[in-house]
Order: sequence, then structure tokens, then C-alpha cells
Amino acid sequence: MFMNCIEVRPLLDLLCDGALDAKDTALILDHLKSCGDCQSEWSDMEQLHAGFRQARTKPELPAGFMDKVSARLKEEDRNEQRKFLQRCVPVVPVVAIAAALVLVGCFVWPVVEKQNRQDSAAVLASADKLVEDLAADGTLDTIRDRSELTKRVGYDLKQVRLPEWQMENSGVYKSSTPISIARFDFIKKTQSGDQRLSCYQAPAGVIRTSVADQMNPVNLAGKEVRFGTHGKFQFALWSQNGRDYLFVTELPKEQLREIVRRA
Amino acid sequence: MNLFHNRRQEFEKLTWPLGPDLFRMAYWRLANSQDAEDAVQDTYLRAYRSFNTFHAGTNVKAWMTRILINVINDTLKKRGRLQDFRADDDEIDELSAIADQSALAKDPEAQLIEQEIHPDLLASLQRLPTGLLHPLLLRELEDMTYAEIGSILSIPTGTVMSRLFRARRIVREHLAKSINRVKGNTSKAGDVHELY
Repeated sequence: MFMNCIEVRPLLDLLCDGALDAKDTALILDHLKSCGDCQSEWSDMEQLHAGFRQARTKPELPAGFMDKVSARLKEEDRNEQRKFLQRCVPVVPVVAIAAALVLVGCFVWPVVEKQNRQDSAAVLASADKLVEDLAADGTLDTIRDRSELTKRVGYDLKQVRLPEWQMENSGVYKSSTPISIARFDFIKKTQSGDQRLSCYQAPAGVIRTSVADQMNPVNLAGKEVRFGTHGKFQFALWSQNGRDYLFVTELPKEQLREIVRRA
Repeated sequence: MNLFHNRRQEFEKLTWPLGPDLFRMAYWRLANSQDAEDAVQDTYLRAYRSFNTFHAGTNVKAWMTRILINVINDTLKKRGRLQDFRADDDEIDELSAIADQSALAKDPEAQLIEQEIHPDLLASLQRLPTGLLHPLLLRELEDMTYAEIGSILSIPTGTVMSRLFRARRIVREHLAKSINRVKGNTSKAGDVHELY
């Protein structure tokens, strides 16, 4: 089998690129031996190919060129770092706020919540219970020294002026309430016998009684006083100067009213 | 930052060996050593910026060459030199003259480089339109297969073959005219000039 010039010419490029199989290569080389025109064409192509082969090694990379590229890439890194930091700066306050909120949520809020619960528990200190415990022994932790008592309860104790009464005892009411309640026991000696009066004092809002709350307050010398009865005891509850006062006695209600009015 | 440093090291390890090939390709396309340096430097910068898009294990040379061709095209567009095929034979003289004179106008390093290459071949290549020149350079300088060239230039293999055929024919014709012209000149001077 032979090839003619029209078939051979387009394949010379492929032969030059080594893209022909052995059979086609042999057929073309056979044709070149016998065809001067195609041989001349092939010779030109080989010459061109040789020129390119020389060009494959030239020109060489200038000395130090890759160092220049490396320096450029380092500069690019520095610019990227600057951009990265610039992007971060506006985010910092947002992150700080978010962190603060998380802090509040995780640590501060439980503390506040606990305090609120304690306050709620304090409010639940029942006057009825106070009155009930009054009759029982061992509900008072006796502290006679006033400054010591003040230190123990943690708040200033207001002076209660009770003419004709003498303070017999004082101390801290033993209870589960987180806020200490002070108690002063007074005695009044009369011909018919000793009269006793116990006065509780606590920060305003600590002492409540459901019985007293249901009653309308009575204004006594500027004090809005609620009266109540628990067993044989009469009691009066009011708030004044930031303190709750609870007076408890076995005396009749009218007599208690008079004591409160003059207190 | 260490992150940037490691990334740069990985990039350099992969692409540094390609420097000489990229520079040669750029030089034969732009016919100017300073332009070729700028193009290769831009190529490395672009490649580094988009290094995260390179898939490890794929052909890094094809990836870098594709970027280089884009850089070269952008450079030529800016200069208004991305011309179509120029058929004006008178330009051979002009280009040859430019190639001859360029050695006088450039810095010593550029002169050294341009003394090493063949000005007639360079001038002939510059006459080719981009669509023919790039397949020829990739085949002859980079020894790439038809498939690799097709992949880089996003053209079918058959198109690569036909463009190579046309490109070689044009270059041969231009070189033949150049030889005849030189022979005419040298015969007057009684000298012979070897082109290849």
C-alpha cells in the first residue's frame, strides 16, 4: 500500500509531533524517499522543529527572579493579614457585647435570680408564725448588747419609745428566713400582775400576715396599722421609716392600740 | 501568621519548578524580557490568590499555564496588541528591524537574553494571531500533548491539530521570505547567515 502527496502532506505535522502509529509512519517515510516535493516540505518542518527545540532552553530565567516573586507573595500575605485584621476590628465590639450577654446569662442572672428568691422567701416571713413561736421556748437567740445585735441583724435598729415599759430581753429571732428579724421583749409591772409585750423589727416588706392583710389598716398617729388575733395573742403590724414592726401581746386589743399609738 | 506561611510554602513547593517554563512561554509570546517578567510575576500572584481553587493532585502546570495565558491576553489588551492575524508582508521588515534594534535599547540583562534567541523566529511568531500562536508555543516549547493543549485553551483536540497545521505553515512561509531577504542582502555583502 502506498500513499500519494495529497494524503501525506496533512500527516507530516502529526509525524513531526510523533502522533502517528508505526504503520502510518512507515508508509509516510516510504513516500518521502520517492517524492522530492514532500521531502522538501518535511525538511522545512524538521528545520522549524529543530529551531523550536533550541528555543526550549532559551531564554533562561533571570537570576534572582524567583526571589522577587517570593518577596511579592510575602507582601501579599502581609496585605491579607492587614485586611483580615481590618475585617475583625468592627466585629470586636459585637463579640464583646455577645460575650457580656453570655456572661450575664450564665453567671450574673442566676445570682440575681437567687437573690430574688431569697427576697421572696423573706417576704413570706409570717407574722402568724412569729406570734406562734413567741409562746415556744428557744426561738430567740438572746443578744443583750444593742451594737452586737445591730451587727448580727445587718441593719440599723430603730429606737422604739415605749413609756412605762422596760426592756427585759433582746435578740435575734431564730428562723429560716435569710434576713434576720430582731425581737425586743418588754415587761410592765402592774398591781394586777406583769404585762408582756414583744416587738419584732425587720426591714420593710419582710413581715406579712394573711390575716392582717385581709383587714383594713387603721391610722394611728400617722401609722397604717393592721391588727390581728392569733390564739390568745393580739398583734399589730405596720411599716414605718423603712422597717416593719410587729407588736405581740396577750393584752386586749384596745390596750395594744393605745401602746401602738404612743410608740 | 503561621497559616499564611504554611500556605505560601505549599504553593512555592508546587509552582516554583515551573518558573523557567512560564518565563520562556511569556517571553516568546511578548517578545520582551521585562514584559515577560511582569507577566510571570502577575501569574504567580494571581495563582497564589486563587490557590484555594486549585485541586491537589491535578495538573499544576496546566493550571499555571492557563493563568499565564490569561495574564498575557490582559497585558496585550491593555496595549492594544491583541491583534488578529496580520497578513501584511511589509511588517516582516518592520518586525525584523525592531528585533535587531531592541538589543540596543534595552538593559544589559535584556540584551543578553535577546542575543540568545533567534530574532527571525521570534518575529515570525509575533505575526501569528493569538489563536494560532498559543497552541504552537504550548506544543513546541512546552511539549504538551494535543489533549493538554485543548484542555488549557478550552478547544477540541481536532481544533488544536488544525491550528498547529496552519500556524506552522504560516511561520515557515514567513521564515522562507526572511531567508530570501537575508540571502539577497548577504549575497551583496558576500556573507552567509544561518537562521536556525
